[in-house]
Amino acid sequence: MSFQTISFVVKNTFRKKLVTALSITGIAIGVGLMVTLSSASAGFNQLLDNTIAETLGDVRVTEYNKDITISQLPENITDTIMTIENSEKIEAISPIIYVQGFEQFSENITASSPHRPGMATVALNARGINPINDAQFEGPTTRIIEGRVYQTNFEIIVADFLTSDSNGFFVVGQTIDFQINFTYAIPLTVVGIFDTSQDTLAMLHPTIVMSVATGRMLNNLFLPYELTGYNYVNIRFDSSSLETTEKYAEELEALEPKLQIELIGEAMQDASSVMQNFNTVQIILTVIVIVAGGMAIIVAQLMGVTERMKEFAIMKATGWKNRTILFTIILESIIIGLVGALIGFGFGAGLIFIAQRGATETFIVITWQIALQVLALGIGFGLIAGLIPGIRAARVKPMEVIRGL
Amino acid sequence: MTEHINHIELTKRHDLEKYIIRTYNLTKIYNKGEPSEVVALNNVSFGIEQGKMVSIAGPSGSGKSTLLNILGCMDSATSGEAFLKEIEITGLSEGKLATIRKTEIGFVFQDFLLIPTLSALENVLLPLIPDGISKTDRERALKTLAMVGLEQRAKHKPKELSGGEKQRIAIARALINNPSIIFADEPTGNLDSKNGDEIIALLRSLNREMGVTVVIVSHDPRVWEKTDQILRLEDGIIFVPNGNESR
Repeated sequence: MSFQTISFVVKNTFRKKLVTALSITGIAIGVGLMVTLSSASAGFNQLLDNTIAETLGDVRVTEYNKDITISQLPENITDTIMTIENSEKIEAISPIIYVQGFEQFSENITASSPHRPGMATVALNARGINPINDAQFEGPTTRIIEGRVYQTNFEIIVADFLTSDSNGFFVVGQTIDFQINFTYAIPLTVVGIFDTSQDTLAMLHPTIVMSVATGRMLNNLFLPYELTGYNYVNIRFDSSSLETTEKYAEELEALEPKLQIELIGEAMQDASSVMQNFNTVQIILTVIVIVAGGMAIIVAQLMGVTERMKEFAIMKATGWKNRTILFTIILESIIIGLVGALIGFGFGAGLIFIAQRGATETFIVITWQIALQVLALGIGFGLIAGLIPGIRAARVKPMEVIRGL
Repeated sequence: MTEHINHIELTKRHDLEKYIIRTYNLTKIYNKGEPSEVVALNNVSFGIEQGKMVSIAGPSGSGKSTLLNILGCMDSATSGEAFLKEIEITGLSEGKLATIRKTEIGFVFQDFLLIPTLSALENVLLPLIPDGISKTDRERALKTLAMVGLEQRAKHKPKELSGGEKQRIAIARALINNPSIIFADEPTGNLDSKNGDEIIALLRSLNREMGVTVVIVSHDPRVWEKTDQILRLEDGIIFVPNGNESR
């Protein structure tokens, strides 16, 4: 193939500027959406993989067969847990109070928050945690970025995003009225803000934290029964696999009182299986993009070939071989496909950039596989879509076309 | 005076080498065996001498296009034989026919058929594009443009040229590979009489100066007058001057 052939092909590709531009636009939009979706999928997969790795040794212990909100574990539960055979494998342990009633502040959270769109209530996860235990997990009390950790009762610390999402409701120094059954209010003072920017699972973690005593007191005022112990215990084992953690969990299951053990890493793996559905959607979209993009090129090229029949006739008359003509049409299609795919890639990358601008957490990742996929798509479009018009152009009967027979 | 020479056996002649084209019982039947069967060429046998300028005349549907198609290596015959120089072109593969078209034949058409995106020079170089164009090729193309009097228009696009100029570019394109024969299909059909005369004069001068054989299909008696020989086709049967003589 000569340089002049390529130059000739390039000139012909862009001679019908509007048709070519529309084909390229169609492909670019499709590829752009595919890139965005693929990048989101890749980002979430990466996030899940990291999270699964981080949580391999994490276990949550609740009362057997009880929901976390009503689970009651005895006050000495940590002592009981430390009696297991592999207790030396416990790196961190933290008994926690699940504090109820904070849903009443959901109206103060911006529903359209970029952090938690439509999840204002979920965002108000309140917990009573001992800072000493929390430090073992490098939890909220170790990540104070403004103010200080709670020191006395009726003091709370809140997640950093709540300060931006709550329109000035949760700010350091602010006292909020915690309503008990609409009869009286307990004043709670925000004394500190903790950082969540490095916490990929911030949504699942507490956003309002207070002392165990405060949490227990609020629950006892709020609930119709008395809570003396804890709702649940977080444990981190020194474990590099779910299988090892399961082995330790079995030891916990053998304890009295009977405990319910949840492997956090396993839950994350379940979440990753949900991603499979997302991947299926992505595959379907990719197929749609290929078909639509291919059709765009086929239509554009068929139009072009039909209009240029006399040119192919003269090319053949002057000695161009069928395969050379076929090749030039396929090359034209590949150029359209590649340009469309590359613009689409840029478009997708732009969408991702806009979507992530200002976000504290980066979920969308453009991997080299996606870039390679885009290149393959561009070339694939050309090869497949250029074939039919190319064969048509190559099979032209010069004299019939030239004499309009 | 013309004579039906379908059955003249040119093969018996002793001076075969002087014919650049020979056909023997060349027949082309479209839709053979179907109700719509058409006999476009019916046992056509004739010869065209090397270095002559010949016109093919005949009404529409007489088989002129079919004959040009087959002689120009762009279609196959149903039966019979056709030779271009010593090469039997009937029965050759499409690839070999393309090679012959490129090396031995130049075409000139009524509609000029220049590629609008290419300059005059690039149009002249069109047959060479697949194999790549060297500096020598470019110089040769410029010389060819000079031969047709358009060296100053080398960079112009077809839309910037007049009809006569376009046809000159088309002739230059036909000449770029130094062909043995030029087939011109109604080359003056889209030109006024002045430009038409100039194109025929140009073809005649190329014929005389370069020795290239020129076969012109034309309805125009003014064109016939300027050629060495007139072959007449009617209903797929060819009539040539008596004894296949040249004028």
